[in-house]
Amino acid sequence: MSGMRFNTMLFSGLAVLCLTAPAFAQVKVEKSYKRDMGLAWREGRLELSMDFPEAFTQRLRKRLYNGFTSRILIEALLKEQKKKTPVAQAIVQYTILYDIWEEEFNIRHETPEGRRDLQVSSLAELIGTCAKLERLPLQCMVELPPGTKYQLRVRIVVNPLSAELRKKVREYLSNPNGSSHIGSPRSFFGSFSKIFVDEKAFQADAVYTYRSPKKILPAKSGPE
Amino acid sequence: MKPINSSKRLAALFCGWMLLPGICWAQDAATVTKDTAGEEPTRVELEDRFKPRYILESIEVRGNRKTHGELILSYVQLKPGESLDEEKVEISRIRLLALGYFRDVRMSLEKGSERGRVKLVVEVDERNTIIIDDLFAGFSETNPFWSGIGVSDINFLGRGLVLSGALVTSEYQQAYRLGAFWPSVFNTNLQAGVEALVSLGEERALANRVRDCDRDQNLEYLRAGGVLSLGMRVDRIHRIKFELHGEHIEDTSKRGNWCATDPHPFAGYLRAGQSTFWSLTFRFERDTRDDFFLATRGMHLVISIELASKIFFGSDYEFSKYMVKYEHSFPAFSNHAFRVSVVGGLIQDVGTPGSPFFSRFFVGDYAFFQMEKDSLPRNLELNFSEVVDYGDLMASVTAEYDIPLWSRGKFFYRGYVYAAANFSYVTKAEFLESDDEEWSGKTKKPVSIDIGMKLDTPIGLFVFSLGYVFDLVF
Repeated sequence: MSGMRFNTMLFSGLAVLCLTAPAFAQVKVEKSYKRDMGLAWREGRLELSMDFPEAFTQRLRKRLYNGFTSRILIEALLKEQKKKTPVAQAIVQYTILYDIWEEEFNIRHETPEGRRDLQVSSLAELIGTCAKLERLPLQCMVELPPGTKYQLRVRIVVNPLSAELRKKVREYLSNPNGSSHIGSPRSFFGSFSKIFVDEKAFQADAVYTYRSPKKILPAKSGPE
Repeated sequence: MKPINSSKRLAALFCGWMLLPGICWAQDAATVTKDTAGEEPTRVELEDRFKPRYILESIEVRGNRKTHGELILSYVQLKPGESLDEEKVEISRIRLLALGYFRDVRMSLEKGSERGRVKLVVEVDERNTIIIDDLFAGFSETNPFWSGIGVSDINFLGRGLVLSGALVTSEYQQAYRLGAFWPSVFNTNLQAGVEALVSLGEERALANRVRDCDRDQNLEYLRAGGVLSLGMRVDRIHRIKFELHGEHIEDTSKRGNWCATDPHPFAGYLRAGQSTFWSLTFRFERDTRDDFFLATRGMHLVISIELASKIFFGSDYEFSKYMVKYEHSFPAFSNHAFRVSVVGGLIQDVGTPGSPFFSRFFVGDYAFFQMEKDSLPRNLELNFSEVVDYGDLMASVTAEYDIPLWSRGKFFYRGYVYAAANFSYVTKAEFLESDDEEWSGKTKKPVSIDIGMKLDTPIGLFVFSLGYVFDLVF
């Protein structure tokens, strides 16, 4: 202290300071569900069955007719209780394209084991095909001892943005409109950005996460 | 349902999506496959049926009530007659979203006049583009109450212009600012702006702050002028800008009332009577922050040089001002962020006064609040506090720790709490060479702290700061 007197009455009536930046709410859905999922051993393979109709929202249903490619990426991880590393996993991608002239959906189903292409003529058929997993084999990375508690997590990503496009997002977001407060000290040290767009919101149209209750893995059956 | 084929074994198409940590069956093989017979890997493209192959016949914009269609079309990277490129369509969508004018942008195709030709439909949902830039309110010993507001429309008349206006007023002082900014001149990397500022100000020194004087000593003045700016985005992280600043200044003080103190509190603040101020500023910026709201990585460097000289339209003030700011963000525990910011500045005056007082460094512009309870930041360059000391040397260091609270809220889209500490030092170079204790009292070296919350909302970024409360309590 330099001996200045302490008699100043200084107060800001509003303890609020607005800086030069509007927010921007992206259309982005991120939801989590707890759901019992079918996990069973068949012929020595651990297989997962579930459905997820929630992912086919009205917005997605409308988008599927837009004539552009849509992707649904499904990742399943089986984790041992209290451990972070998955012990088994699987991945599936659906690529969907509506042919506006033929008025039918082309569907590609891809897994690490192969792919198959389908055509369906209605949205109901498409949802019946793509909104479920039927006996999806999980790739086990370790021997799964019986009697241990596991939890299954399935993550469904609708229209993930490719790495290349994500770089472009960064480029466009790094060039926001700039400041209109020219010349004042506060604008010099204020934000240059007029728009705060959450870069992460461009990663995908929607992300759904399903978690199963913790339960004991069913007994292994079938040939090794 | 009719199966078409079951063909190739996909190794790891999915790695390219970056959304699957640790889940890749084949390393570095985002597009490499093996067929079922185990042949050599081949590069796989999505077959034609999974890439729309059409000729673009026309582009139609829908849903825009305010924004001009031509402005929207200028961000679409396709033209009628071209082959449809899905990636260009997606990039166009991203560019439109990044403007901040729209809540959502949807692209779709409709049948064209003949098979193989399509119409691209760009459907937008417009959002509010009028935002609150600033809110001011407060009272001090020299200004019993002041208040003000700043408002901007970032899409003025639907043409992509930023129009902003602000005012602040008290019993003794008023300031008005009106500005227009063109963030992308004809959709190029150039930016241009113009701003007008009118101030009726009064630097107020209370009688009890002046030696051997029983009257308040005030410097009254009028400022009327503006700034023309031209900038360029060199690339995605670099930007340069030139600003031409001109003002007419009038010292309207009743100097006959001034006590003959030596030196007088406002000696060298402005030229007596009428004067003209012109300066040219060059600014360079490098910005690698990963997020403009809550940066967790990256740096932000700003260097500026301002020159005022008689050669610029006969300016009555001659000085050079150099400033540098460096800020670096680091990821911290969990999803927290830690930020360090360093700011330094130097003014070299030619004659007295070389620089007008409002161009000099004021400690309240850099500190959160002062333990000596005598400063708030200036609002529209009007000083409402009882501190009327300005310096030509400045250094400031800030450390801030941020803890995100939520994201993707509906109105309060994102929010985080922060705790920050600042040390600022503002003085005059001549004080450093003087042993006069009177001068040393005018050197400001506050240590300040702040705790608060920052909110990202559709009508602006709000900062709820406890700094003012600390100011009141301590």
